[in-house]
Amino acid sequence: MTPTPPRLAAWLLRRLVPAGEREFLLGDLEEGFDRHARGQGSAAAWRWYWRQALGAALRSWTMPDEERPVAGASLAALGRDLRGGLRVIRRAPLFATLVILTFAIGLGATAAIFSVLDPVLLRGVPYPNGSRLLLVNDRGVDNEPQNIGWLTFRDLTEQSRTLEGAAAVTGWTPILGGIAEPARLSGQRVSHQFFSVLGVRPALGRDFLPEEDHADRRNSVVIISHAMWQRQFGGDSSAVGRTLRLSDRSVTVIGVLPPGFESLLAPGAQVWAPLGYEPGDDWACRECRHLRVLGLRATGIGLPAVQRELDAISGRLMAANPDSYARPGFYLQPLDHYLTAAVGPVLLAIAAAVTLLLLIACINVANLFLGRALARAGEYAVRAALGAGSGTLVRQAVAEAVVLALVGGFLGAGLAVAGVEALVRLAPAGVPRLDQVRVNGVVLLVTFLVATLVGILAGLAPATAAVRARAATVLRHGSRTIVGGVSRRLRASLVVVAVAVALVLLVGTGLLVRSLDGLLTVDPGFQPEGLLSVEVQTYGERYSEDAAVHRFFAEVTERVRTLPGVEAVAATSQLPLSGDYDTWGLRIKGHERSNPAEDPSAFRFAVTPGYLQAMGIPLLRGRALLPEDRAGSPPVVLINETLAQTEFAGEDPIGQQVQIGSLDSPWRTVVGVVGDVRQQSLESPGERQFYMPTTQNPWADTRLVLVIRARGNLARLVAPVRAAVREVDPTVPIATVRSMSEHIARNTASRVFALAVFRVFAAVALVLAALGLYGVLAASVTERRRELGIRHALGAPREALLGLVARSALRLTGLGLVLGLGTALAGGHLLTSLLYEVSPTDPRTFLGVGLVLLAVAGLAAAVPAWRAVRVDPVEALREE
Amino acid sequence: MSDKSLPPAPLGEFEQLVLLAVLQAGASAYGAVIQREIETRTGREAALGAVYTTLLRLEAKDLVASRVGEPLPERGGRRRKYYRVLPAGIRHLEASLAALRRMAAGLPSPLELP
Repeated sequence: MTPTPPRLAAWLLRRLVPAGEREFLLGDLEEGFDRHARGQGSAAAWRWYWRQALGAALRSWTMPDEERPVAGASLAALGRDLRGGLRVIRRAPLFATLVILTFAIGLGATAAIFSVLDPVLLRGVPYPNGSRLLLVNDRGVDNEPQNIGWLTFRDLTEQSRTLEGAAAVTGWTPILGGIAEPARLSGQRVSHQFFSVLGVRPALGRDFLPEEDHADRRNSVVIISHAMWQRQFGGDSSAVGRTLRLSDRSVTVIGVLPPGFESLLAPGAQVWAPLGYEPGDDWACRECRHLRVLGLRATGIGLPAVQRELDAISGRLMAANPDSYARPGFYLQPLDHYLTAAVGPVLLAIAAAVTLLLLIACINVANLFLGRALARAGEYAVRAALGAGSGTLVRQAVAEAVVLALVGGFLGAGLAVAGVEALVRLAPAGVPRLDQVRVNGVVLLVTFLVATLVGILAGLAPATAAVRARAATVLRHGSRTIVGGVSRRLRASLVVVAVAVALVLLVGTGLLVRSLDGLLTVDPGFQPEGLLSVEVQTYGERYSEDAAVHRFFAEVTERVRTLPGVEAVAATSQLPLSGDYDTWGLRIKGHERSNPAEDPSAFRFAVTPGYLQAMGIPLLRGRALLPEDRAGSPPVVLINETLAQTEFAGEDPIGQQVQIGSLDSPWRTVVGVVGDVRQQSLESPGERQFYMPTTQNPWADTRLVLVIRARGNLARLVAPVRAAVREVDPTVPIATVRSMSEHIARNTASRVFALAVFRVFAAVALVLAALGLYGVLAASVTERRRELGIRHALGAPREALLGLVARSALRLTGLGLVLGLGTALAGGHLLTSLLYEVSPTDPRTFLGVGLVLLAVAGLAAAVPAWRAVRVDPVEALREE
Repeated sequence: MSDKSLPPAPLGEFEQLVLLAVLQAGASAYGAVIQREIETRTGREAALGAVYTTLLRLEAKDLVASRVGEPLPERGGRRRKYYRVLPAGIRHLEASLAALRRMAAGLPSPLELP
């Protein structure tokens, strides 16, 4: 096969060489390529072609108009200036590269971060009624927001006029059957108004009817997501009216939601069924606080008016049911506030960090342009003296900035695309609307314009100064004096600001590092290493008897216990640090509150015997739960240390009587005290917790999490555990399998995420600040060569010359440090919600960061200082 | 040669090389050949882009003229642009070479330090 010229090079030429010459040039190059290929082999020919092509491309791209054939001379002046701008890349490659890279990093990072922030934080709730939606909560003993019981919800919807509508929602995890391996779905049970309150209509079929929201029909109809419709019915429009097998029952699909619909309170939900509660139901009481209630503010009614009316309703409800409410009034939260509250602090801290990064990038670009202008002051003056109009000079300065910003902007856009992908991949679970994150063109454009503006201003200042100054003066006094005075001071101030910004970012990073280190060494109250969690859910007719559920879990536990490597196994109704949340009210005999609604609440763990051992939770007093504690035997309970201290201060809790849940439930004897476990997050200590045998609960928990302590690789245990569950009952699905370390990683994900961003930004800021410092010091040494030379000739020792540079370095860095420390002290509280047991003004962090910055400043000053010492007096004096 | 016209602006070194290469190549003077003439006679690699820019400049000064040939398969169906030197080009070249000869007159060949 005959070799062919490199296609990319040829493509480049086709793009860049003017049409008039393109054909001949390409033809000649091809002939040349063949000749070289015959004479010297295809590799040499290949290299020759690339060399020639790049040379020709660059030449024709940057060719001045006056050298162009007449055809090209019609190009607008703008084109000429832009080409002039491009020439800067050839003439000052280091300067151009630094400017382009700084632009690219600054723009890329900013665009990436704000592209993520925009849909997540700024775009609001994606429902037609989004801005009018409120979360309505009961108030707890400490006025904290609490879920709502169904009777309260019913009264609220009947009585409120300021709310146009309200809907109650709770979680639902039906098992999809009729397929090879039953799967657990994520779904919601909703009151019939749910979709109309959101303002969403099914794309196919219809919404729920009020008569379907009753006990007799709650299991007969569902509305499904667009994705589920695609998966289960292949997007067939006849799906409405067909049936699905959910948790052993046949239900009819009555509607399909529009694509892109996401239930913000249950991301990933795919099926919705009516709530179907009736006033007499055990789970419908006022104290059965497990429903989220969404209210729709009537148009034209403000939040305060809603609050006033709902508080009045609450007053009436409390008067009628004094034992059911702890505090008067409802706790209202606009839905968008609620959604962003969890991720807001992380993203806002990151937004602040990226703004600082953009600032430091702009400072550096300005600094680079000023430095270059300084070096070209003489050239400007000569050109002005020779009659170049001020317009031309300014236009060319602007063109240079625009061209560099353009090139940097393109690179930055690429960085932004990669950055957004990385951010989405790294983002902690629970960030809403993450799937809608795209590189945002508007954001890219705005940051790009900002950076260009900075470049223009920085390039403009010296050009106009040169034009304004009397050219003769500039020429007589050597190149740098006139423009230099202003620019030098400006550059120095910019470096001070850059150092300050870098310090702020470093402090932020330092604080986050210390928080994460602190958090990762927190004792969660159990031993997470070598612990596998497997969530299993029973369902359907076969498990309608509690005994069947208990038997199933007992059998699974026994089978898993015999697997090789397994040291201990037990099951629990909720797993620490997994997002499980189940609190119950409890009363202590002799300590009952006059209002039962004010009784303390605590996390409830229904566990099988051996749970403490499997988890590695220490037993502090008394005894653990035993197989003998079963249905029918005297009811027992274990409490944790915090519960013992807060409710039994100065008493021995062992042997005391505790009632859990409703007022008619049995009294239980406290038989042991165990260590605290971090349930909600590693940060939250001091939660009240109690443990009861699964078999002594008023009903069987159908969903339990197996905790398996094992030696060796946990991943290798997954298949045998699955098999063990299948052997007991092949229709029971395993919902999630995760190691305890994975749960902990998810729990700290947002912190790790923020820290990763801060680390990168702080490193970039540090490098940029160091470069700025180096630039200013180096320029100052160059300018003062003469002075340094004379000093040297007059016998100034080397240390004195070194001291000169060191002093200016120290002055700039010192000022920056002071400015940065002040800013960090003032702005540190922005990070507070991300810090763990570290003060935002932690002296150790500030000291360490200050030292790092000084060390880097020392490095940046070293080369200029070395050059200052090595100035040869004779040469320096001869120069000008 | 008329004395009324201004003396021609001096040619740059590369312009001289290109003009001479066009003359050397004769009837088949196109980019690749001109480039090869320069390379083989001076022993240094010439950039085709530079050759093209120079030819355009010489054409703009009316020192060379060009005509376009037929599409050729060995060039991927592309045409060649053939150049010939115009009388003004010869005059310029003569002036440049004469200047060089006058400058070198009386010096030993090969050159040596006095």
